[in-house]
Amino acid sequence: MNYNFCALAKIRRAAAILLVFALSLGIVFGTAGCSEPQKERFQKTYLDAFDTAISVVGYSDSEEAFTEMAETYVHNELMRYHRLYDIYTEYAGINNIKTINENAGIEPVAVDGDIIAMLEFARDMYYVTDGKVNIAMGSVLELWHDARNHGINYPDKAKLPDMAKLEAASAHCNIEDMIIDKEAGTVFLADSDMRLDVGAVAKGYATERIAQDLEAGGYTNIILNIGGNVRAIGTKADGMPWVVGIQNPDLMSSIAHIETIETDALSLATSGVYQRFYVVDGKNYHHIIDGDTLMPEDRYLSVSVLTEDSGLADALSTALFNMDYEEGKSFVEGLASSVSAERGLAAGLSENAPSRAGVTEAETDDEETEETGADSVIEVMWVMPDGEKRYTDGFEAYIVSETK
Amino acid sequence: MLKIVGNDKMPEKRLKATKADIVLAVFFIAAAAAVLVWSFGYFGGSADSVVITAHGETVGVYSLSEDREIVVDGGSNIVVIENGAAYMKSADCKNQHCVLHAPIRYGNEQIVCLPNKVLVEIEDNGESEIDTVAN
Ligand SMILES: [Zn+2]
Repeated sequence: MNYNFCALAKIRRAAAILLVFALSLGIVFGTAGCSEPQKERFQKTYLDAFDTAISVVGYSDSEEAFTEMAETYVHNELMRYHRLYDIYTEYAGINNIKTINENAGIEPVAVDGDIIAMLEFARDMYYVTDGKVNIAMGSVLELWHDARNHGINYPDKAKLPDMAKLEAASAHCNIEDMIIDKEAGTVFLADSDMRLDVGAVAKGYATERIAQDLEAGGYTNIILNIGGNVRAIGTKADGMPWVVGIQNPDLMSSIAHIETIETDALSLATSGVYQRFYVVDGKNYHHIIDGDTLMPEDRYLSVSVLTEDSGLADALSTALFNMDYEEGKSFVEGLASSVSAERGLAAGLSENAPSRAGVTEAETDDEETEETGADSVIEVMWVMPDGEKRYTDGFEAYIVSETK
Repeated sequence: MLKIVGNDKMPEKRLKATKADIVLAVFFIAAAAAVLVWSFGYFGGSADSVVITAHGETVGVYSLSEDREIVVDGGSNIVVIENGAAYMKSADCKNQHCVLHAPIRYGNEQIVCLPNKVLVEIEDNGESEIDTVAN
């Protein structure tokens, strides 16, 4: 071979190699670009409903389609539920929970079917949690609410509510005094000193209703975060599970998330000492009031519940927050084996609805298990006062491993 | 380049073919370089940024890598970006929850001042590990 031929061959070879290189780059990156879900990711946050931050994250073909979905299905609906379930404000032309409270001992109030459905769910939750979630505690919670607002407005005059008043109010917290007449579409509080406070259930209940409406409308690849009530609708667009950080109860910590979990089609709710607290004599008082002691208790920094139904997750996180660890653990174990897998523990319970006062665990167990034999997820993480994390057996399967 | 291969001992025919080859080679090198630059752009991503909104209106979008102080809504809230993180330096809200919140630095993290309707959020650049925070 002469030099020239050799040089030419080299150049040709180089060209060939470059061609292959360029083509493979084109193929690798080109396809990576194309195989990316055609759907784009969007996010919208609202600060005007339920006195909390509301985020909608989802994948959609266009920003217009996403915004339309977020406005119609989430924001507008939340505003509607917010007005119906409000206990502090009246709105022209509607009877809401405040109206029911104002007519306690006076007369039944005609209300929207969505109020009745939520109140029935809340009453179910009372029996499911053995009274640990009690929307009839409004007169007790009102004293805390007033003391907290006063303390926040006048920090140097912050004080706890008067225990004698709390005890007097606690005599008017009987859920049986909430009389629902489904036929007439009315709610009546038979005890004139009783008040409803639906704070522990309304947000989670509304979240679940909205999620189910989205599912029925054929929407998927969405995750809702309604003031900490996280509800996944399907997976991400690429089929991967959603990654959810659980807030570190120590807000000042440089570690923002105490745990990170992966989930699809599940709900996560957290009750924690860092939510809506106020400070009296240098001590933080949070807003989750124990129905037995009438005080916010310090058993945990937070309790997180992972389950299908967002309303159940919300109610259970409150209930477990007010139970000692051992009691809570056995409560969850009993519940997990009895809850129907259908999104609709509530629906199921309403059908069988108590013969109330005397509902025993065993009775509900039978009825529930008959309904479906399928498994349902109820997993819990308790964060103890010293920061130690305790889990139900199945919770850890959802934790994103450190190695990832 | 031309000079190296443009050896005068080469037959005419060959030389022509070589020129075409060189043009091709240059074209491929350019194409490969372009693809490389393009792919770096594709993977490099842009620096994380902080989005601040008040009453639903965007106040501004700021780079996390540039230290600064942002006065929101005529001073109702003051946001500070420092060392790659953002935090609420001060707020005239009563509950002060936003001021107590730890600095945020990762995609989709938020600090909310509900009373003043101010939202400070790290923009999701598509590489965030966390989709949302259960608080
Ligand atoms: Zn604030």
